[in-house]
Amino acid sequence: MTGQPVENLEETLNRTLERHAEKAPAPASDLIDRVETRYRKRRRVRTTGAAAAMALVLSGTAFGMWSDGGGPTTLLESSGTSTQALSRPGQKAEDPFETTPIEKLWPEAVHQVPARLQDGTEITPQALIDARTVLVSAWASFEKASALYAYDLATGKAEKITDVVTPKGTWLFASGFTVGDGKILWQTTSADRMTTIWSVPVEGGTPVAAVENIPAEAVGPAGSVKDGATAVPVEPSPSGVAGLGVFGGRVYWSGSPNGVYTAPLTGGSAELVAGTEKERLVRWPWAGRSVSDRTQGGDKTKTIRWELRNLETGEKKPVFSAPGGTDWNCWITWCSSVTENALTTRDGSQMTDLPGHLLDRGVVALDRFVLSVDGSRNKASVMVNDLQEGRTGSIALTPTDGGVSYSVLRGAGSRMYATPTADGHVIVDLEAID
Amino acid sequence: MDDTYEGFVASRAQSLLRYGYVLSGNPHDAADLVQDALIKLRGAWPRVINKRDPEGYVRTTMARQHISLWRRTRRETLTDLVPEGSYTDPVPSDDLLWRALAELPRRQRAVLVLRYYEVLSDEEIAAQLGISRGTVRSQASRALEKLRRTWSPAVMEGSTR
Repeated sequence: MTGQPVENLEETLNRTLERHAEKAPAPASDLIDRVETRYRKRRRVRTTGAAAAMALVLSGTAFGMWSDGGGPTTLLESSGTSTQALSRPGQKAEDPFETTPIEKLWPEAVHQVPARLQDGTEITPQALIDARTVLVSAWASFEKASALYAYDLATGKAEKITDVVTPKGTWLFASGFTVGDGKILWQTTSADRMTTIWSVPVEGGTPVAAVENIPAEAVGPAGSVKDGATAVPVEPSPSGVAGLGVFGGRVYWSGSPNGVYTAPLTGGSAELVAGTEKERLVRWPWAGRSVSDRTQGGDKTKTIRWELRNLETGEKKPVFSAPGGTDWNCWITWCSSVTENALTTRDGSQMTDLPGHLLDRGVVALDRFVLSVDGSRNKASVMVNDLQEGRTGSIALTPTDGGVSYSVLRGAGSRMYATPTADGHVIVDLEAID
Repeated sequence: MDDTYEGFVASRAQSLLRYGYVLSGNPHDAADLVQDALIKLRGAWPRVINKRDPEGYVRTTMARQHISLWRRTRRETLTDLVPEGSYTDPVPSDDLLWRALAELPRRQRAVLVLRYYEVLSDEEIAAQLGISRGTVRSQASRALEKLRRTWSPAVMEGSTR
């Protein structure tokens, strides 16, 4: 068995599939009539608003770098061949979301940041310090932050906050920038797979290591369902630190593969929040886990249940269930599936159709905003969908040689969405949206 | 290309059923998948024909439907397309690989069907299923690994160890 070339199996697979395809049933002679009848029936249901069917929209391939990094960029590319060319049915007539250019819809929340500072330094927005100040990083080389600046949206001026030194042998460069309690935090991982969380005051200063020696996870996805783990990570991260956030003088993050960890912002050792061994942080104080129910004696996952609880008050949200093998992710109120291109509340009381196709893991930020993308290689838009108000702001993307590139939301706690445009970056302050 | 919806259905239904059959492994699901996708196409036809790829739209709809949650919860109501009594085990006793495919999770099987039946690149599969290229690769490799465990060339016709 071992030593057999892989091609044998693959060739046989192709033959087997083609041979069995011939055994497919023949189309019913009245197929057209049946489809027409069903179509009309469904349409009646739809127009009375009784059932919201899922939008099935083909989008391009989203290539994500691992999602925990410094502003992961994904590329939208066409699928290439003529028979499988991009096909975009677009949104349905009944679509509840009305799309408007984002700067017209939410002028108070949308800002522009140039691609470079006045001295020519290339910058990338990382987080909002406050409503008028953006934390931007300047890259020494690809993904290697060399300095952090506070960019003033009103004046267009930038002030240096600190230099970010990348020690020799760093495996994962500074990433996961977050702002809270007057501090800026980020993380790096060394060659020996130890992660450090750094902190610097927003007014500037020298970065200090707030938490050191957090073990990064072994290479590969954490806690997959296959190996019998009971918890599936909400947000796996190779650094062993995911969803870094600051609340009430403490740092919180999800460990690897699971567990909610905390340390004082002033520095100290990491400790597990009691009872969270199998949970992951969605957005403090909400921690969730997914539990796989297996068939008796088999290795097949029958259903997966997503649980969520408030670590401060003990409040629990309704449990969401889906069949094993599906790719749902649950946030606070909402669960999303990229494969299904669907969003539903945990209790199933609401489903929603979005324009375009859900991005990345279908992250729902601030329990309210989710991104989708629609368009083609030459003309595409990212849409910021407001689930609370049913409004959509669109951002036109600029095509480059490889397609179009856009950023994704970092996590459920992200206040800022920033994505590259033709002449810089557009920034959306999600908290500034009424 | 025949630009009418009826013309498309008449000329492509058999091919779509074959696709549905290798995706799902059984004629009931194949018929359901095709019917459901055609209903969707019926509503979207003016937009889809404008993009000149109704076949791509239907096949994408079928693949996504097959691996999705909602379809599984309502499948029971959609089996009226197949004539009663038509289903007998279609698996030839000697075809271990076809049997092994039936044991795979839906998404893994879909990735293999798109790769080895539709002969799509991993990028195209990612676009079609709405998942990342990395997920396509990991799903394919897990699926192949499982198949290799139950299937070995030694038990196939004309192969020796």
